[in-house]
Amino acid sequence: MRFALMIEPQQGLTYAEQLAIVQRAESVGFESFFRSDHYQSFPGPSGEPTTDAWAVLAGLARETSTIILGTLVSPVTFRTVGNLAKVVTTVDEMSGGRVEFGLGAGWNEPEHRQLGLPFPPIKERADLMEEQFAVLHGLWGEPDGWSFEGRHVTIADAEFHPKPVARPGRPTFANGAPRPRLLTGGEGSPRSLRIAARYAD
Amino acid sequence: MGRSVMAGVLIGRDEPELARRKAELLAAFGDESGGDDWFDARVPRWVLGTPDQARAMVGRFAAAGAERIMLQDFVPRDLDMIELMAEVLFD
Repeated sequence: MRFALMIEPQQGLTYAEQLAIVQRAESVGFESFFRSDHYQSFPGPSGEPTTDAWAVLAGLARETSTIILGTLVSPVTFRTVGNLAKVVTTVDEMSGGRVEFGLGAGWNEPEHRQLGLPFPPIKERADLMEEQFAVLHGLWGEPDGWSFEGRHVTIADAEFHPKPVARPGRPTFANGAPRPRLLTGGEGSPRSLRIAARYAD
Repeated sequence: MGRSVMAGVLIGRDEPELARRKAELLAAFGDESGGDDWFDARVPRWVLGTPDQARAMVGRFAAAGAERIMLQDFVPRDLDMIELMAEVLFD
């Protein structure tokens, strides 16, 4: 059995607390560390401190050396896909290829309202999730000049570098290009399973 | 596709340590029910209890085909529990 430690830093955890947690997890031999990606504090009182998941993971990447780092899961609504791809790939470089990336449709409406983030209906968020997975695959796996025409996202003549770090055990595309392991969550609706089967691991 | 399961975790080396952590977790959730029902409802899904109970639950997940368990820790400031997870559960 392989073990990951998963925490919910929107319980008011500071960066320093998360650093202490990941360093302890690494030292006792956890294979991986995941954190949630929420901007509103819960459970318990609202209004507690919350941090940005990927900014924190960038810091943790430089303070650890072996443990895999990732989110379970980042909502598609927090970052436009081009920014998302750049952030995740930058942390991948900073960690020497230790990133795993979970992506989900998002569910917590108040954290969007409080920050001016759009929160479209579930049908559109599911569309966005499928398109963001497709774009990550394209930017990571396709050669320069790749384009994509989705319902919500259009990409023209991409030149995406650096690519994810080559690291033993990572998934690869048909052309051999490595990529972070991709995860998604959910209760197993037919559509989410289809998206998971096509794009995730 | 790899099969992963995400499960809440709360373990204690003995009953007093477990009781202390249960109280911390309920405080984090803002639950004032006293907690027995809250935990009883989670016994079927969580890695919860003493070391023997926790190992048995991981065994059930393994028997169901899970290759990886994400242990969801709601009292993460308690670094001793992270250490106990490794001591009790890792092969």
